[in-house]
This record gives sequence, C-alpha cells and structure tokens, in this order.
Amino acid sequence: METWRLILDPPGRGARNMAVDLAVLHSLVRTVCSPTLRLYSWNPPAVTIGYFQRIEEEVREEECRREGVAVIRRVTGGGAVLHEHELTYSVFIPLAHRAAPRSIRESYELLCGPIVDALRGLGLDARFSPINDVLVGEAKLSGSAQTRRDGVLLQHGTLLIDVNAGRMFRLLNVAKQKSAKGEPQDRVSSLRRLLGERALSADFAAGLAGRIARAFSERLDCDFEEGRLSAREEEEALRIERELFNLDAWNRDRSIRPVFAGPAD
Amino acid sequence: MTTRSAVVKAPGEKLLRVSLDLGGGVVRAARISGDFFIHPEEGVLLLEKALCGAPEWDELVLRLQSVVDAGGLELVGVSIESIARGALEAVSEYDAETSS
Repeated sequence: METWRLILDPPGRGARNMAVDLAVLHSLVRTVCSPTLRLYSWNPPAVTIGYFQRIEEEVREEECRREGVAVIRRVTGGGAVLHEHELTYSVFIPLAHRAAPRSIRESYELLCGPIVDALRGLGLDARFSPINDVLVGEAKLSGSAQTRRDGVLLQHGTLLIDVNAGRMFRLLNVAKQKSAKGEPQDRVSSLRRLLGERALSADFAAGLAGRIARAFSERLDCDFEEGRLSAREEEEALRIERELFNLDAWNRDRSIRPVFAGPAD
Repeated sequence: MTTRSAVVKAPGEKLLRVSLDLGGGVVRAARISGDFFIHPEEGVLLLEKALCGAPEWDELVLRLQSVVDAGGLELVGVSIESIARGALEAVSEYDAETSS
C-alpha cells in the first residue's frame, strides 16, 4: 500500500495557512513525492475569499478591521468563508496519480468522500452534494475548493465545528440571491449543532482529525506516515506569506500570479 | 466612465457577477467575479478581455467559446452563456440610461 504524508499543523494565522498550502503544492511540483494530507485550524480567525471573488463585494472590511480579522484571497475558487471553529483539510496529489481523476467534478466527489465517511462514522447522515459541498440534511457542513497547478492537484476544504452566525453575517456580505433558498443560518450547520457541546473539546478535535485521516486511508487505499513540513517548505511558506498573501496586490488584484518556487531540487 | 453590473444565478451554477466599465459606447474594462471555478484560474483574465471593446453582442458566446477553446479552459459552476448574459444585461442597463 502506498504511503502518504500526514501533516497535523497547529492552529495558524490566515496568511500562514494559505501559504503553507501553496508551499506544499510547490514541493510536489518540484520533487516526485507521495501525496500529502494536511489538517489544520485557524487562530486568530480569518476570512478567505475565492480566487474569483472581490473583497469589496464579499467582505465588510471595516468590521473585519475592527475585529482584527485578516482577509485573504485564496488560490482556489469558491466562496467567502469565515474560518473560526473548524477543522480544515488540504490534500495534495500529483495529477498523474490514480486518486486525481481528470474530471474536476469527479475529483471533488472522490476527495469529499472521506469527509462524508468520517461524518457518517460519527452517526451523521452526511452526503456529497455537487459541485463541492458535503451536507447533513439540507445544511452544509463542509465546502471544498480545488486548483490544479503544474501537474499537482490541491483541494482544501472546511469542516465546521461551530458557527458564529452573528459574526459571520457581520463580516461577510451574503448575497440576496443565495438567501432565496431560505434563512442563511439554516443553510449552514456545525458539529456542535448536530452533536452537542462535546464537539468543542480538544479531544474531539484530535479524534476528528484521526477519523478524517483514516477515512482518506480507507477510501483512497493508502497508509499515512505522520510527517512535518520540510525546511524548504517552511522557508517557502514564510516567503509566500510575505510576498503574496500579505499583499494587497494579490488580495485585491488578479493581475499578479501566485509566486512560484525556484528550480527543482 | 460608468460602471454597470449584472448578477446571474443560473440553475446548477454558482453566483456570477459581471461588471463593465463603459464609456463612449465601448466596454473599457470587464470584471467577472463570483464563487465559481475556472481552470486554470488565470483564464478569467482572457474571458474579461474578450468582453472589452465595442463587441458584437450577438457573437459574444462564440467569442467566449473561442477563448475557452484556445486557452483549454475548464469552467465549473459557471458557463459562457451566463457570462454573456451578465454582460448583455449590464450593457442594456447602460443603454437604457444613456438613451433616456
């Protein structure tokens, strides 16, 4: 069975979390190495918007500034997210690998599968909902976004542990067209709402990370070896944070490309 | 210069906003935004560029299709028809204002 790398990261600031994702993606582009699963969380809370979104359309910037919440544009499409009480996963797979279907829609279904499995293991009636969501009942518990760059697939997604609805609607603009489906707060759920207060404990979070890793292992037929970021990934993450995700030129303007790593090792 | 926007939410697609900077009857700049996916992502710049100038609106879908074909773009949760529709709505709003 193939061995993948598992990275369990401590809670990180927004720009750092996004920079590590891009650094690991670059690492797989540079070297022939096995796929990687990274599990992480956010501290302090941060807002990310999709690659194709615009801060002025999606975010109440004044409120974010007042509450010290950074706003970062992702390298992936999809919607705006307030990352607060959640477990986030990123999976990195070479496009030539069997676990990276050529069809983008199919690959969402395949890679959201372990999230569905992990939730079902908790007794929840979870299901994949195309294009990129996982629902319990009719409410969204997990959303994912994918990019493919230089022969490597990166999919990252959230799993909501708790939702601070007041803060979410204070910091994000919720488009009227979306609200037609019902009250916004009823369209998003959380593990706390579904499982009770135990979802907030540190033990639960650690157990959830283990469940997700096991679900990936079973669904994608791989073993995990827990690893850490290489020195080069660490160094590059710091550079990407500084030279990309902390810059208005990236967060507000599509004219700069994500910085790319140096030559192959 | 005036900016006009239109929001399109087609069934099965994500939310799309097309914003056009209009001046002298010409589209000076276009912005396509929303929570959809375009692969590779930078392809959105080519689609925005295709909306600029004094376009023949009837040919807009064909023009966008040629950009998609030439760039090998893959659109997920958005379509060239919706982008064209958004652009047409933004322009017709502008036309209605300038002719009144």
